[in-house]
Amino acid sequence: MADVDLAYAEEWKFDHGIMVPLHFLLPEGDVPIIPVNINCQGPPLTPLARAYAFGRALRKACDAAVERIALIGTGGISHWPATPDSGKINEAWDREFLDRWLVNDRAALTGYTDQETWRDAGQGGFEIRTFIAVAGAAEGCTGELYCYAPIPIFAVGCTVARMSLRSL
Amino acid sequence: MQKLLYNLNRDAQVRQRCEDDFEGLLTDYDLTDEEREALVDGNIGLLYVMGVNGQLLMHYAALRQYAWDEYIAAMGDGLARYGPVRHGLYTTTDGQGAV
Repeated sequence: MADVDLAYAEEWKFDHGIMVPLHFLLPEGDVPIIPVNINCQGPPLTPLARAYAFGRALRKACDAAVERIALIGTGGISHWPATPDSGKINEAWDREFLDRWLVNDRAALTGYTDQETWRDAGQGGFEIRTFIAVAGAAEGCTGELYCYAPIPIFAVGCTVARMSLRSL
Repeated sequence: MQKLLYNLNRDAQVRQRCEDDFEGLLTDYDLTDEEREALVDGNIGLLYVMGVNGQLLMHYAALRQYAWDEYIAAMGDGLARYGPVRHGLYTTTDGQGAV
């Protein structure tokens, strides 16, 4: 809280962005989790620079804890969910974004305007904030892309990538 | 209107009232005549054009027994019939909507 202002919720029903990864990663539900949400849905949207700063703050908090902690950012890149364009994917935009993410280029990652993202990546593209927060948490580290594939029936390009702190 | 759609998706008691007395339920919310009519008619295309957030509308469409493909088509039909999306971010890539 000293670095980034947050809100807190006593009640929260998780959406697919949290439940689907947990379903596959923790099917037994036997590992404590701390759910975190970044507004990627509607104005006022979280500024990209603040998403990166939020990641840095998370890292600071995690470093101060004794537990071994995995930080998982989930969300889509370009997509137009719940619109007549559902299924459209801007693969070139996605790959450019992933290139920026993999080298953890803070200026490039936070250089998009919301108008540009909305135009080129749809309203679903606002979810780049979760990727950017992870990059902030792993500042100084680069990423490794495991997979990326545009899958129209899923209405998004599906990707898995990791940033490891071992390179520090 | 979006608060109603949120509650319908999240609250079983609200859904029960929807089944028992939908028009009575609507009196709990501050709605325009057009909004009320679109909700009663289950007019997904008009609700989309009005600017209902897609993450809410998709669940209301399902409640109204729309299959996914029918829901997507209904939004397209709404654009053709009522014009561009009036508010919000859930627009199409060809610019048919509010910015």
